[in-house]
Amino acid sequence: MNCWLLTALAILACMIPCFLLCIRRDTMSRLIGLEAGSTMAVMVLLALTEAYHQSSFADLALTLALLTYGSGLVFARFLERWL
Amino acid sequence: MSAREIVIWVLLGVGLLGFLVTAVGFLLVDDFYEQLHYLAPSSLVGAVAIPAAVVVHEGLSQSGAKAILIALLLFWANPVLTHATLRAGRIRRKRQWTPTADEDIPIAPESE
Repeated sequence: MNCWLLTALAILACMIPCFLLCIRRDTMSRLIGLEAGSTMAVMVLLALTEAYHQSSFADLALTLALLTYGSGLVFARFLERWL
Repeated sequence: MSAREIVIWVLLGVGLLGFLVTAVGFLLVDDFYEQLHYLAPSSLVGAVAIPAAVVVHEGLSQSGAKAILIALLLFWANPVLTHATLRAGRIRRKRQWTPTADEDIPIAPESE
């Protein structure tokens, strides 16, 4: 197991509080958990890119980073008024 | 262990520390506004240190360039998302973004 896999596992462990936030708390706190969890997922994919020497995984990380930004804004806007 | 590997380990450790601060903060804090503060360590420290480790490992190859893009994107997006989330949370609670009558928040006069 190399340092990149260890990093990916450690970040996955850090995602547990984000899941708990999404499950247990009120609606706005769930959005915070989702945003933090998405950032961590991007970094897990980036670490796995290096761990398995598959540069195509970085495309997934880049796409997820872009979608995280868009989805966060859309969720915030809808939670502000309509949901 | 070469100097480059040491730099990679240090950058990965710094990045993990950022994520750890976020995770522990979420466990300890109940208030929405305080939870928002803990978004910053993961997005500003973790999301920059780990791509930096990738760049040190790979150089400016395809993966390295994508890592730089990811770091720039997350570093730029986090303050925007934090503000949008804060605004949404406040409007949900108070029904307005500006201070309500019962809040003693000084507002700077508009410049002419």
